[in-house]
Amino acid sequence: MKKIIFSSKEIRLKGERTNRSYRVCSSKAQVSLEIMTYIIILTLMLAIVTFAAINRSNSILTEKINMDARRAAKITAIEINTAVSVGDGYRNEFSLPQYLYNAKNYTITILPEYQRIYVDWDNRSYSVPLLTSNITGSIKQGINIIKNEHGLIKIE
Amino acid sequence: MSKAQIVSGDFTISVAIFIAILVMVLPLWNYVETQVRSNEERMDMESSLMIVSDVLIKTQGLPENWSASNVRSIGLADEEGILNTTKVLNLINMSYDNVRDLLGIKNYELYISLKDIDGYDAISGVCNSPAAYFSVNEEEMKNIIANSGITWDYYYGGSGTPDELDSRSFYSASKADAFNSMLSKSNMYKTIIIENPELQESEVSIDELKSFLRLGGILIFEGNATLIKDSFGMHAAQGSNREGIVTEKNSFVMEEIGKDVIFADAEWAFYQLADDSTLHKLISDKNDNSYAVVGYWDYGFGRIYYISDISGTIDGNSMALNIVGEKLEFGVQANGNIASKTQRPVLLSKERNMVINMVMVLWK
Repeated sequence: MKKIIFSSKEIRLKGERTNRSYRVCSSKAQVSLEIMTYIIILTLMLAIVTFAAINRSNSILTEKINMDARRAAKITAIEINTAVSVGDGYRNEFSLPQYLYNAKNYTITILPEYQRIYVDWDNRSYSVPLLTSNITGSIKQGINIIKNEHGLIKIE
Repeated sequence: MSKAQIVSGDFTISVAIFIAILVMVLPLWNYVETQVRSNEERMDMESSLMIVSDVLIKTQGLPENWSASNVRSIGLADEEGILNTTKVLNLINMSYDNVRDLLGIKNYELYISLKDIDGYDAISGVCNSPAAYFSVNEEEMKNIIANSGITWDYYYGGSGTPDELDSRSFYSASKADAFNSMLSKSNMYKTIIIENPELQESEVSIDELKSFLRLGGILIFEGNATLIKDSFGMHAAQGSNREGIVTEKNSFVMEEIGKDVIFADAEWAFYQLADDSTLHKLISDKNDNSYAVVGYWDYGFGRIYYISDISGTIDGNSMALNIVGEKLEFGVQANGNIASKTQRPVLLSKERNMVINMVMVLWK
């Protein structure tokens, strides 16, 4: 049996066992082929699923970063607008993240002449309009202190 | 052989189960992600809406008297909560993308509309819906209000059967009866338009007209002023072939001051005596500028706009009075799945304050 499996010459020499040996050999090859086919199919499916997952997770990551940028701009806008609405004597502390989604650097700038806040990251920009242009100081990542002193909004 | 079959069967089943699970999980994953994303977007829209609506109704914009060509920041207010009609019209005439960009909402579609407290569309003109229109024989004002978006009822005191156009209802009788019928329903209207009535005070229930005005109604009166010449807080005199000159520019007469106005047949003009309310002479009699051929004054909480003759020309063009104006809305009406809406009560300044709701929708 073993010989027949490993030597095709012996198959030809031992005529009557040849047929049986051939069948065993054919089944094993079939199994091998099937396994190979399954493995290829599964690998292909895994590759497709992995590719789709990576692609989607990249798009989710980009969207999360965009959301974080918009959130940072809006937090600042809402703080400034609240300071304007409450009036003289208002003081509050607020915090901005060091990075967008713990990974991306960004800058946040107030342009009083356009009465708006800009957040810039990765060659992208997002802006939010403000209730006042009467603002001094600059926004930084981390803790910021905002005050309303006689209508002038100060950020430290 | 049996081993091969067992292995093959196992694999087939396992692959089938794997594919089935994958087929079930992928849409579920997609669904969960869509839900999470739309929730995030909804929250983002709501915060954007709050910020943007605040900026629009609380700030004057930059520069203070901005126009579409020089705007750096859009604000619609004269002061907090009081919208400036000119700025609203400037916004309407700006490009959609430019507005979204300046408001920081370029990710979303935007729709803004101004509605009065009864839900009628607010317009830039002085006439508010619903309106009543009375005429006898001359009907030049009818073509101005017809098909303008104004909701109006038609009271006709002349002979024959006139074209009802897009009026909501039509009532025809003798001129005094038609007029009194209109006055009896005056509490249904915000504006009454009277064109050359040829009526005397004694023929009609004049107190109902006064009551309508005291409660905040708007009267637009054209032509023969006999009916209101003495007892409506101002005085009128009859003349002939009056010529006019623009003496005040506002949202009703938007012509340049100093322009000559030629009328087809302007007889009547109003003037102010010591005890009268303040007369705003928008177009004065060219020969005696103490007379207004087009002007307005307040009566109670209401206002009277008087036009001696609606057929006037300025520099060869028809005199355009802002009676109906245009519908105050901007942007694209929502037809997306995710939308966020806010409604903010404000005053609309059209030389008088009118309570309206600013409805703003962000959608995707």
